Amino acid sequence: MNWQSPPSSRWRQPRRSSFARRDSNLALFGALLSGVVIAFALLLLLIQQVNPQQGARLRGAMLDALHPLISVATAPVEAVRGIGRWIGDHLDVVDRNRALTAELALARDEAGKAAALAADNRRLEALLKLRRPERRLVASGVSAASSANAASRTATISVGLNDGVRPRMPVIAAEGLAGRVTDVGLGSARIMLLTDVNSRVPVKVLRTGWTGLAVGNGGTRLDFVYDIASGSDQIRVGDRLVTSGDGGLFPPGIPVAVIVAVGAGSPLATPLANPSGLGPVMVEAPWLPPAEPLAAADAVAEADLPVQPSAAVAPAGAADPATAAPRP
Amino acid sequence: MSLLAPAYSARREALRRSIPALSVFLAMLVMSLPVPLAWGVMPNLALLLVLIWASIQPRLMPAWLGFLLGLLFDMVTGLPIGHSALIFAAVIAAVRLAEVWVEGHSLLLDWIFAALLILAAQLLSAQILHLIGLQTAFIPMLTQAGFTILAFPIMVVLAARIQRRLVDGVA
Repeated sequence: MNWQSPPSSRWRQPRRSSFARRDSNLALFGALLSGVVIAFALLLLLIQQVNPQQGARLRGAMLDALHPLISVATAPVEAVRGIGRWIGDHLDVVDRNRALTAELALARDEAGKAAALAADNRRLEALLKLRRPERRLVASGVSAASSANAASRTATISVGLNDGVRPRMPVIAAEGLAGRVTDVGLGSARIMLLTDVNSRVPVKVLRTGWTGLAVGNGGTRLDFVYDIASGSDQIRVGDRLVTSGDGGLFPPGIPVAVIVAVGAGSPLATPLANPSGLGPVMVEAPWLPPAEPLAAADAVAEADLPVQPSAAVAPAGAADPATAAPRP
Repeated sequence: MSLLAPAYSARREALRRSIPALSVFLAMLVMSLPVPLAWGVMPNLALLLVLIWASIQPRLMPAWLGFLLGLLFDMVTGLPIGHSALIFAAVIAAVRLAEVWVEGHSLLLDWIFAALLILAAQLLSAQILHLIGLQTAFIPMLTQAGFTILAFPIMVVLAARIQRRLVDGVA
């Protein structure tokens, strides 16, 4: 028996088996589906561009689901880090003790002067009736994990909507500023770290008082961007940056970073709170309370202006709310 | 139960089919661990696994699955939703096209192709983020691409092992 398909002729193409046809159909369908899926992803992105808050709730829910998993997975890493720190602490305890003793002697002197200045300051502020907004703690939690992604520098914390955490709130770790809240789930939240490329924190140099922005460089450092101030002073390695309170989000005076390199470009700083191991953190309300607009007093009723007959007849004038408002 | 024709079980089959997706999800979790590395970036293991599975098990890593995994990845990392979905789907489509062109290939050729694809994906990622209005840093992105390219052979071996043990079901 001849199992082969009949030989093809010029006029009749060889008949493909149904399997071959099915395969090519499937391939075609697959290609089509890929196209549709990619187009849909683009559509999602465009929606994001129009409304960046789109999907924030979805991300929050996902965060709630993932947070327990991530914190379990983080535990061994944190333990190893803790052991390393413990050993390191023991190795250089003598050197550090000597350095600290020397520093303490200097600091005692300074502290006396500072206390006098602070008392002076308080008295002057009372004279001026200066009102300082107070910092308000919203919740405190533990940070679990930080994503090591080049495009975003984030960490998750163990407090969320149920604890009063909302997007935009500043997050402060033991050593210094950690970042700000971006997405919130019910029991967990994601924070944008200082090192994220999109993070901007208004800071000032503690020694000179110059203000500027600490901009994340996407890696592990911050760029200190500032206007060149007048005078002969310069930013030095070791200068500390603290929040300046500009913008009203971060409370002033929180330690942010220390300058580690001064070169041709903007000075580089290392954040004081280690972005990959924040530990316990507190979430505070935005420093300056949001402005509460006062309702304007009701407008006094005015006597109607004499309406000209030609204007009243025009149909376009009737649609205009300014002219069509109060009619007896 | 004969060794030649193991009993067919729908549950087992479903599990077998979901192994690639599960491995990508695990890679996402690993990526969210705080591991101190240079520039603080980790190789994009999820993208690597998607690329490898699309190449060795095309039926178990179709473009729509890449899209869904990408959505999940966006939610895990906090990137704009649709960012990784687009990249994963595009990477799978690119692998499909390449497999049609070249049939048998060595690991080196695969590696070179993967390297080009990873660089392209990182570039696409930066472009997408710019479209959304976010900034990106050049050096960390490049560093991450480099780490990802270096991790390719390790992940190939890992994926091959997973395939042999779990997907083929020979164990």
